[in-house]
Parts: sequence; structure tokens; C-alpha cells
Amino acid sequence: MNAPVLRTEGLSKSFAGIRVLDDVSIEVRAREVVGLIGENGAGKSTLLKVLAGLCRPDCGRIVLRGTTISLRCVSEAAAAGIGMVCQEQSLLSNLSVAENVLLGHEDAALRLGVFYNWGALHALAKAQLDKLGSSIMPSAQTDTLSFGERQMVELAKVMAIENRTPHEPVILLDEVTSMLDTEQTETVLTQIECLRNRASVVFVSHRLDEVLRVCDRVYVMNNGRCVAQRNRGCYKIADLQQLMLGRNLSVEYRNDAPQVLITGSTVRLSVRALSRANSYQAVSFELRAGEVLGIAGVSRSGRESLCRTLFGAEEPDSGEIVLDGKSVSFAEPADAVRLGIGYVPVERLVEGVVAGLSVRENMTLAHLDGLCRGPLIDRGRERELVMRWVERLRIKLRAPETPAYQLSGGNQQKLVLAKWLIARKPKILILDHPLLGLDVCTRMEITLLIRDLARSGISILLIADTLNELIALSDSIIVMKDGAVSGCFPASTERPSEREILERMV
Amino acid sequence: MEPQHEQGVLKFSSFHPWGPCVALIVLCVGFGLAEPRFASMENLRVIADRSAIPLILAVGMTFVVLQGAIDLSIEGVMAVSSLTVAMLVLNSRTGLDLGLIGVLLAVLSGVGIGLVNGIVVTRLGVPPFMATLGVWSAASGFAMLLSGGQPPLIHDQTLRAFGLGRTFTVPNLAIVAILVLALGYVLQHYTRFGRYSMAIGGGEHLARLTGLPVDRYKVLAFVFSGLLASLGGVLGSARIGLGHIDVGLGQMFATVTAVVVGGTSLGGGRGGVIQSAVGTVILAVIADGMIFVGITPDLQKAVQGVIILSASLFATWRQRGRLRIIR
Amino acid sequence: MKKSVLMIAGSVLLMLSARIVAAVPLCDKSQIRLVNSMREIAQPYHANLDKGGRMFARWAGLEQRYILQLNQGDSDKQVSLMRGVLTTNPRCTIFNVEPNADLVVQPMVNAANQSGAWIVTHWAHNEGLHPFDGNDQWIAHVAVNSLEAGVAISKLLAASIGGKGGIVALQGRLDTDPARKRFAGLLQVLKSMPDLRLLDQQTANWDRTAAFPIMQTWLAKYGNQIAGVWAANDDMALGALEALRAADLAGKIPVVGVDGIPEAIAAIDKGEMIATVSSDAYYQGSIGLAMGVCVLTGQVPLPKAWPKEKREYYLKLQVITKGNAWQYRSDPQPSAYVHDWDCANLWNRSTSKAF
Repeated sequence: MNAPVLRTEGLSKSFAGIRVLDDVSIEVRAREVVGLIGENGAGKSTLLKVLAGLCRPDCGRIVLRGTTISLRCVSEAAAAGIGMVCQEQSLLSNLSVAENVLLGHEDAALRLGVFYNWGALHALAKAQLDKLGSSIMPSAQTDTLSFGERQMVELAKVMAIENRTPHEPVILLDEVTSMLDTEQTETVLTQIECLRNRASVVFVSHRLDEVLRVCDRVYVMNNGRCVAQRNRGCYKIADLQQLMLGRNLSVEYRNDAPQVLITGSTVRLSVRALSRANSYQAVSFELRAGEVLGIAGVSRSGRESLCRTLFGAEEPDSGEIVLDGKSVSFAEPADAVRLGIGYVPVERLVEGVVAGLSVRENMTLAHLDGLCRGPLIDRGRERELVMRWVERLRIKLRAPETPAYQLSGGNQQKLVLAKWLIARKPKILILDHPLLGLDVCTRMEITLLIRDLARSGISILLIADTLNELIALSDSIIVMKDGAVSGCFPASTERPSEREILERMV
Repeated sequence: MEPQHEQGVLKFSSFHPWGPCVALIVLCVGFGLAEPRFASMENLRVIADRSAIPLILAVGMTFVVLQGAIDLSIEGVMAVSSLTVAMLVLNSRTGLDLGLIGVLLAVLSGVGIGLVNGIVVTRLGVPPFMATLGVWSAASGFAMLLSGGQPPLIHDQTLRAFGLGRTFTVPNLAIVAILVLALGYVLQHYTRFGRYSMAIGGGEHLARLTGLPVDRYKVLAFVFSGLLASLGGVLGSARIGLGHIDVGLGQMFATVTAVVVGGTSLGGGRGGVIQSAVGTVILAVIADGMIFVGITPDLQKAVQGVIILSASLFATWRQRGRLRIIR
Repeated sequence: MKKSVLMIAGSVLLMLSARIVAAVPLCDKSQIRLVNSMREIAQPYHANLDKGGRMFARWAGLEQRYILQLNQGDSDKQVSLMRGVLTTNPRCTIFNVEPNADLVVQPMVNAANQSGAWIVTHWAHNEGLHPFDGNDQWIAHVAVNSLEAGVAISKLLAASIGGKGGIVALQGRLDTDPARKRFAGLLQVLKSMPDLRLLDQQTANWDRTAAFPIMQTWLAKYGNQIAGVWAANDDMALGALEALRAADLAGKIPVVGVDGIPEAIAAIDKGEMIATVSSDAYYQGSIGLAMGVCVLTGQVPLPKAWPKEKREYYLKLQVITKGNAWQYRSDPQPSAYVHDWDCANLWNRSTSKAF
């Protein structure tokens, strides 16, 4: 029987009156992977933050290898052998990969204790990256890496802890796979399995199949409390879901009613032979009013770039965009907005909301003109508008003045949607991974919302997380591969199978 | 699949690194074509001499700016060190004759003032702009007290000869500047001071989260800036031969301009000493070239402004992405 | 007989009463405030203005009532500093002003007129403005003939190079009257000497640190075409001199300046500069205060009764060359000026009217 390496006793934490952690007692044993699942807002991230020294609990104890410890900051946790990879990136974009991996702990690579020995630094970083099977160059500038590559570097950074402690480290992974593609997720999961040989891991993920695959034990959290613990092999997904939600999820959103046939409605957007060097070539398709068009493709297939072009953020080299019968070209996103195109980006906090502004301010950001009486903003109308939308979209918040960065991911997503819907009813909405990082419940809500919007006549261009979602959400699907359209599944009652789409993707 | 931006919002998408260099070459060629005497060896030495003290100041300012802060106090530091050295070496006012020790003490005065800057910013939490502005005033006032209306004349011939002389036909001040630049380069790329300064400028809260001793390096940056500013004041005095409270007149603005034109962003986290050096030389070339080409004094300010704007535009032209955040 | 005695007595009485009328002081001496308003104190010229003012204040027993106002080159500040002092007891306050720029004089004169304070200005003011045009509180304007100064040093420079060769000129701050007039003096001399050439002119804004690199660049551009260096003030001349020294040319190329600061006099002694012109900063810094005290203590009639030449006149300039440099070497003593401060001698150094 493994003695627990890390144990918490009765941890509690409140943020501004809301109990985020309620008497949580868990334990992590040596060389095991413990899963932590729960809805958004269940307290998983907070628990990990407490363990990593990022915030201090109001009461309760943390016991590491038999000794009670109190962690005042991240470096103390790191010195104790506890490291965390967060959802938000913690890398400094203007430094090299090697520096980020070894940030604060370059001692081993210093000559005379002062001067950087770049060769040694790169070698140390490479060692960590190699263990993860990554081919990222340690000398690369971090701001040139893709999101997924940066996630790899984050992992390498946290794994570097093992060089600094005599004991085996405790690694906390907070939603590290949610932003990765299939291939990279595979790598990470393999790594976690290897990590088991030299560390203890706490793994948080939305994707229950991932959790089931790598974890030896699973804790289920609900509303700040740890409601259950299961060992491997002793549970099924449905059980876990029920524990998470505290209710039965009888209707899988995926099995929703088949899409409405869209024939005879007007063609809203027509794209002809659109090309952009190094992104996509000769893309043509049509989008009708009220239609949801999903775009499938692996990373670098050009679909994200295509969407950014349609929104006016990137300029195509050749081809035509025809909106409601008129040929248009955008000098900048504002032009697209004026013509009725809205864009919900994937990196919400960076591109979707202004994190520091309140919910109310964010929501009305694009629509201030309409709320003005003379030169001043009519606060009364603004408030009423905000409350109406908060209710309609069921955004959970305490007050409209809550800063946007304090909302959970799902609520932020709703906020971004609300902003576009308020500003003017868009004719076309471009959604880039709308369900990314959201838990089951919220996904369902947003899915229904998207359907609603489509039904009200808005055309939607969609890039989705998984093929399942894509098939479930879209009326028609086009597949992109290496910048060209490799397949097209127009709207029909017969849904294409995942395999058919996958064949054309890779 | 992963969200990926082909040309996305990259906070530190590089200012085309060769931009300022190309601008410098274009300026030199332009002036040389307009007035062949511009390209003489003697004028090259003059430009080197002219850029020496500004370059020393720019190296110091670079580290502060890399961290995302600014040091407005350098003129005051130069004034204090100028008067200090003039009163400690053989001079017309005090009976002291401390020679090299006097020089070292004067340079140390800059270290002290830099320390004050650093403490006010890190301990008292005053934003660097306000803190260094206040220290500038205080230092200038102190220098005025020291000067008392009768500036001390430097009679130490070794110091004067050093300031005005050449070694192997290279102006001494230029040699000092190059040494300082080399030091700055090593510090920036090979020590924690340099790398952590980048980190602080790139994301101070992230740096703190990782446990880096951010405050320590902030103070160090101000100390280094003060050290080099006082060195600049000492050398300036050696040149003109007296302790002068205006020895640094206009240098603060000129230094910041040089740093920015060279490609170091005022927002922090981007740039470096070589870039600042290029910016400094650009400004020196412009000032010198305008005299060679014969632009009348009335027009010079305007022409200078146009050239600086063009140089900056040229350097950032390639990076005009639609969603680039402009700093 | 009685009638003539009466007449004599009457006229004596009249004369006596006139003197009595004139002798009524406007202010109690202990109430008088002396203010010297100037740009800065870093330059020796200004430091000597202040020294002159303090010397006078000490001699007049008003040392505690002496105020120095520095505007650091900011015209608005010079005016607002004056207004600040006028909030208390303006009628017994005397301002001796070195204007930061020509246009500062009008607002300061207005402030004096409105508050009843007294003002003496130096150097130059805008055209059309005169003390005798109803500005009763404007005691006098002591003008300096900058053109005369410029001509004087230019002639000496020309003479020292035999009347032919190339000259480079360092101008002062281009928006000031002294700068313009002195340079005009140079141009005037150049016109009369066709063999003399102006190679180049730049502005170093009165500052020696700025003059140094300009001189350096000139040496690189013109080399040995430069026969002489003309500077609109001593500070710039000394800056250029250091650049010459770096090129081993100190003392070999003649340099001229204006102001008569001690360093320049020492340089003239050594032969590194050949001429400078002094308006005597100690005098300028004290004469306005002396005039004001004479008015306030009733020892002279009110300025509005003065003839125009006494209210606006040119100050005698002293051209200093190697020949007479010895006279100016040491720090002046109050005894040298006491004679000039006496109320009967206030216009000793006036050369001619300045309007």
C-alpha cells in the first residue's frame, strides 16, 4: 500500500463570499496518476492553485510526505517539488524556449555563477524536451511557437523540477490537453503515462475518456466539495457524469434532432477562388441564410486563416468574396463588422473580451452608439439591455460589474456571443472553436444557442473541436486539407460519418 | 487541431531587426553623396566622438527600458557627477587633487542616485516616470548648490587630456563608449541581469509568479543607468573643462529618442544595447550631416524630426499587420 | 526793499519746499524689497548679476530683503514669479529684470503698472514699447547695444587675421534680441571687408556643451579654411575653444565672445581668446535696484518727471582685450560701484538715448 505523498485535510477557500473549496480532503500517492473531474466552477483549478502555492487556503492543511507544509509562493512549492502547468500560459514570449524551461533555475548552466553558458542551457532544456518526445528547438523564440508547442514547453518547464528535488515531484496538470489537437493530446497522454514512473500526477481534464485512460484513481468534485472517489475499472462514464452534475444527463446533445434542410433560402455569402499565399488556395463555397456550415480540417489546413480573412483580419491575395450579391473587400475588421459579419475567436481572453472591463462594459462595447442619448451613454438603457441578455443566455454572474476575467470560460463565451448579438443582428457569425474548454452542461447550452441563432436566420461558419461536434452542429460541411477544399457534404438528412470526413482531412 | 494564427497577434513580433541599420546606412550614403567631405576619416572620428557620451547613456537607459520602465533622472545625475569630479580633482575652487579616486567617487555618486531611484520605485511603489522625474529635480537642485554660480574649473591635465585626446587616432571617449557597449552586450546576453530584465519587461507578473527576484533586478537596472550617466557626466566635464550643471542638457530626451529609434520598445521586453547604439549613431549622423549639408539652423529641428519619423516608419514598415498592437 | 527780501525769502522757501516735496519718501526703507529676476544662475554672467545685486543690497542695509527669481528659461515662469511676489506690498518692491525673451517685458511692465511696483529692465524689449509712454512704474530701460558689441568683437577678430580668411560663427538662441543684433554686427563688418568670408553659422543656444560638437564638425568639414571663430557669448566661445584644444589649435585660431566672464578673461590673458565685451554684470545686477531705492526714498523725483534719455539709454560697454584684461581679473569689490550707486550718479554709464 502506497503511503500518500501529498495529502490535503479539510481545505477550504472562499472568494468574495463564494465557497470555492469546501472541506476538501484528497490524497496523492507515489507514482500514480490521480484524475480530478468536475464541472466548470467545481473548484478543480482552485484546488490545484492551492497545492501549487498560487493561493493560500482559508483553513485546512497540506501534508507533504508526512510533514505539514505551508506554501507561500510558487517558488516554495517548486522547492518542495510541486509544479503546475496552468490553463493560461506562463511562458514569457520574448525569451527563448530554453530560458523559459529553466526560468529561475539556470544555476547549473552558469559559468562562474554569473555568465550564461548557452550550450549547457540548451542541452538541459533539450533533455527535458526530449523526454516529452518533442522536437522543439531550445533556441527558438517562444513567440514563434504555436499554441500547442507552447503547451509542450510548459510541460517541459514543469518537468524540470525533477532536477531540483531529491524526491519525486508532484506534477499538477490543469486542462493541458483542452487546447491540443489529437496528435499532440496523444503525445501528452503517453507522457503522463511515462511520468507515472518518476512522479505523482494530478490530472484535470474535461474529456472523460482521457481521464479514464491515464488515471489510476479519480476524484469527482461538485460545487467545491469532493463528492466521490473511484478506482480504475470501477466506474463508467455515465456514472461519473451523474456525479459531476448531480443529475442525470439523459439526453446526449449529440443525438439531437437532425438538421433542418436548407434549400431555397437565399445565398448570403459566396466565396470564389479565394487564395492567400501559404494559407489556402482556390477556396469556393456558398453559405445560405440560416445555414450552419462546418469546416473540418487538421491544424494548418487553412481553415482558421480562411475565417480570419472572411472577417477582414487578413487580406486574401486573389479571389472574390460576394456578400448578398455584392462583391466586397475588407481593409480591416471594422469593415466586416459594418457589413454584418461577427467573429467569435478561439482565444477568448485575448481576442474576445476585454478582460479588465466589466461584463456590462464588454457586452455593450460594440454597440455604444445605439445606447447614446446625445453625447452621453444612457446608463438606464444599457443596464436593461445587459440584464436582458444575461437572462436570455443564462450567464452566471453576481453582478454586471464583475470584471470579465473572473467569469468562467463558458460564461465568457456567452459574453462574447452576447456582444455580437447586441451590436447588431449579424448576418453571418464566424465561430472559431465555440465549445473549446467548456464543460458538458455549458456545451449543451451553447449548442442550443447556436441552433437558435441559425433558426432566426443568421448564417454561421463553424470550426469545431471534434468531429462529433461538427457533425452534430452543422448543416453542411466542407473539409479542408493543406489549404484546399478536399471534400464537401451539403445539407441533407443523411449525416456523413466521422470516417468519411476523416478520410478527406488527412 | 489547434487554434493557430498565421500572422496572429504576437506581442513581440520583432521590429524588423535590420531596419535601423539600413536607415543608418541610407543616411550615411545620403549625406556622403550630398557632401563628399562628410565621408572623410576625420569626420568619422568626429561622429564617433559625438556619439560617445550619448551611447554610454543609452546603454544604461536600455536596461531600464527593457524592463518596461524609464529613467528621466540622467541629466540630474550628470550634473551632480560633473560638479563632483570638478571639485575632487585638481580644480580652481577646492584644494583637493584626488585624481583617479576623484573620478571614481564622482562615478559612484551616480550609483547612489540610481539606488535612490530603485528604492523609490520598488519599495515605495512610485511609478518610474514620477520617481525619476522627482530625482532629476532633486539632483539638479543639489548640483546647483554645489555649483553656486562659480563653476569649478578643472585643472587636472591628465583628465583633460583624456577627454580631448586620441589613442591610435581613435578618440578616447569613443574607446570608452565601445568598452561600455561591450559590457552592456555581455550583461544583456550572458547574465541573469540582462535575461531577467527582458523577462520583467515581457511579463512582470509572470516573472514574479515564477519566483524571480524582480525587485532586485529593477534596482540593479536603475543603479546601472545611474552609473553610466555619471560616467557620462565625468567624461563631459573632462571635455569642456569645468563642472557644469548643464553638461547633460537635452540628453534625457536625446537618449530616449536614440533608444526608441534603434528599436527598443518603450513598453519593454524588446530590443537591446546594440539597437540603442545604432539609434545613437543615427542621431549623431543626422546632427553632423545637417551641418555638412548646410541646412540652416532654423530648419534643423524640423529636418531632424522628419528624418527620425522616416527612420522609424522604414524600420517598422514590414510589420504593419492589421491587428498588431502598436507600442 | 521789503518786497525784494520777501521775494528772495519766497523763492528760497519755494526751493526748500520743492526739495522737501521731492524728499518725501514713498516707502519706509525697511519696507523696501529688492528683486532680481533672471534666467538661471549656472552661467557666470548670471551669477555675477546676482552677486552685484547682493552687493548692493548689503551696502544699502537691505540684505534680508533681497529676493532672487530664476525662471530657467521659461518666459511664463518669469512673469508668474513676479506676480507671485506682488501679492504682498507691491508698492515698495523693486524689480531688476533680465528678460528671458523680448516679449516678456510687456506683461511684466503691465503687472508693475497695475500693482504699483517698480521695474527696471535690461537688454532689449519689443519695438514700440517705451517707459515714457505712460508706463509710470517702469523706471528705466537700460539697453545694451548688442549691435555695437557684435561690431566691436567682429572688428577685432577681423583685425587679428589680417582682414581676410574664413570665419565660423556660433549664434545664441535665435529668438533673442542679443543673438540677432550681435550677429548683425558681424554681418555688418563682413560686408565692409570683402576678403573676409563667413564659412558657416550654427546656433549653440548659448551653451558650451552644444558648441563643442559643432566646432568639431566644422573642423572636419572646413579643416584649415577656418581662420577665426566668432561666438555670440563667452560660454559658447569657451566650448569651441575646447574643441580647438582637442585638435591642438587652441591659441592658434583667434576666438571672440561676449559677456566678459572670468574664464574668458583668463583665456584672453593666455592668448586663447582675443576679445570679449562686458556690460559689467555686477553693474547690471545692481543699478536697477539702486535706481529703485533712490526713487522710493525720495532722493530723486518720480520717473514720470524724468527726461526721456534718462528712462531709456544705452549702457557703456567695455571691450576687453589682452591689453586691458588685467583690470578685470579679480572679483570686484563694492567700493568700485558705490560711486555708481549714488543717486546723483545713476546715469554715469549712459552713452546715448536708446530710442
